[in-house]
Amino acid sequence: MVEITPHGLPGVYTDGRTIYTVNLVPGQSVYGEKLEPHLDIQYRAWNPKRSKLAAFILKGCKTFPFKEDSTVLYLGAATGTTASHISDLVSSGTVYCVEISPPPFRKLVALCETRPNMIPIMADAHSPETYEHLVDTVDIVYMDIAQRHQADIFLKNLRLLKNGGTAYLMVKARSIDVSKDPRVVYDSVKKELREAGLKVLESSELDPFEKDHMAVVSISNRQS
Amino acid sequence: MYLVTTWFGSFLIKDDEIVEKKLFPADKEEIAQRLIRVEDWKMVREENELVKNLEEFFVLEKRLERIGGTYSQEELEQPKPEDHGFNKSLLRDAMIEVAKKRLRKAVGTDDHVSQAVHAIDDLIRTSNLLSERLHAWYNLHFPELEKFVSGAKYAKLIAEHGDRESIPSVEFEGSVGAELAEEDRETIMHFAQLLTEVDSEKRKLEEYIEANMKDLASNLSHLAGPLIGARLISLAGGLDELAKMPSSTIQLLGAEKALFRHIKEGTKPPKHGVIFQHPYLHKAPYWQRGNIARTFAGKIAIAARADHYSKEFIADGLKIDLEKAFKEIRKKHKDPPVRLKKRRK
Ligand SMILES: C[S@@+](CC[C@H](N)C(=O)[O-])C[C@H]1O[C@@H](n2cnc3c(N)ncnc32)[C@H](O)[C@@H]1O
Repeated sequence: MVEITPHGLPGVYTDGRTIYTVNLVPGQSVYGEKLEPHLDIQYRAWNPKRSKLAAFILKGCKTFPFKEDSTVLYLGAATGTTASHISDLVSSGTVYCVEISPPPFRKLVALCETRPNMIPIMADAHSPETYEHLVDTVDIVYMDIAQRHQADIFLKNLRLLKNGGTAYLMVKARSIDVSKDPRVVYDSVKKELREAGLKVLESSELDPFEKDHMAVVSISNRQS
Repeated sequence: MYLVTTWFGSFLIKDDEIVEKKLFPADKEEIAQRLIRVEDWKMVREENELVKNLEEFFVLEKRLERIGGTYSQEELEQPKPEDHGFNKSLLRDAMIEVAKKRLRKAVGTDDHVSQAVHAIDDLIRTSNLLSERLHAWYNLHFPELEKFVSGAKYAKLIAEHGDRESIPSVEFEGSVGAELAEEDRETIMHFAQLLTEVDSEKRKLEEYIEANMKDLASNLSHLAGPLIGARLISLAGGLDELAKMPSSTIQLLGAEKALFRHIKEGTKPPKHGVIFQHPYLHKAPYWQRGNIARTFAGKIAIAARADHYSKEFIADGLKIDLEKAFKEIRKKHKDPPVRLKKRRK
């Protein structure tokens, strides 16, 4: 039997090699991940090759505001791989899952039916006005959309973030400009976020788990 | 005064105070219906009721300009669900309903019509195959039957009567075929029965397509006929795709192979695709067909766009225009072109 202990970030556990979240729906494996029981609790292995947030954690992420009752707006939820782990983290909160493409959305809806804190929204993240009547302002915005105008989409959605809330952006360098060095792309994205009034707290490349990707965490500090 | 709609109700708000509210019924189905209306840029009943007696009011979403609101970008404190007896688990249940309804809608009638067109083609192929076998087989016993009847009737006679002696009002004396043993007779009757069923299934599919095309694409159906219309939709990959196509592409839909051969091998370019199946074309003299096909495809494009976008029925007018244009073509190109003898160099 493996020994599972707190990892340091709230809600995240580890056996020294693999990281875990506490399974909100005991018995359910969402994407083929291993389930590990330990002292009456069932943990779900969180695979950094499948989830950029897990990769970011393993790369030493420090900002981690996910609490049991947090509300999260997740843009580009796909089939819910990462969103399901966030759902474990915010067990009594809410994850609003926005996804545009019907095939993954179909799977996402089936997942939401089993997880009481996940809400499926089929919408285009370019147009937050189509779902803002559903989403109250949230504590955390998390975006993982491989699109050319990632930063624009991200900034548009920040009006749904509470003042002082945290925003995660997973940047895919090749979606923005294949011809440029990824570092150049990363710097220009960070600059764009700062210019939009965000405070960039930390950022990290995600290799070796994901090539040419970077995670950026920022915090909104609108004066109002 | 502001009109604000949330997922649980509509509100009139003045100076940050709710002056009037109409809450949605606390039922996932009812809420889902309203959320879909909002998504489709339609009004919900509660909104209409609230503004019925208002002279002027402001709105924060463009959709609400449609019932007379003045759009404003004011930031307003939104009503909270908990304050009105709603909780998020109801929103989640309603959103799952919305999602299911939208996913169901994502597969449209045109997808079913396209599949039915493919199914008809499969049945035609199957029917030809079975028919060939049936003829070869039955010729062992009664080769002369082919001379009396053909097509669906042939299979039907065999399926119903079996041996040549039992078939009514057909001369069998002197047939050069061999006798048919009871066991062989039954087997061949079953086989013929299968063929008649394939043919009747094909007719059923045609009726199915006709019925669906009336709702899906009444203009196209009226102008080109339901089956040709369905084939065009199927070839285009959906009504939406067909509606986007220029008429020159529609004219050649279904002639891709001939077009390809033209490009690769320099054969004559095709003038028409599946629209050739329409009597307008195949009954026309060959030298008028190019002009007719072009005109016909132009009107088909207009019909498909009306079916997809406005959903208005305009096909009667289109048909009149079409007949007029055809008359012109017939008059202008009355005579076959005179072939000039090619001179040898
Ligand atoms: C890289 S995948 C996300 C993987 C997911 N975050 C995970 O880790 O489980 C990107 C997703 O964003 C979706 N997407 C792309 N453009 C979008 C848009 N404009 N609005 C919403 N979703 C979008 C894609 O359909 C795709 O499912």
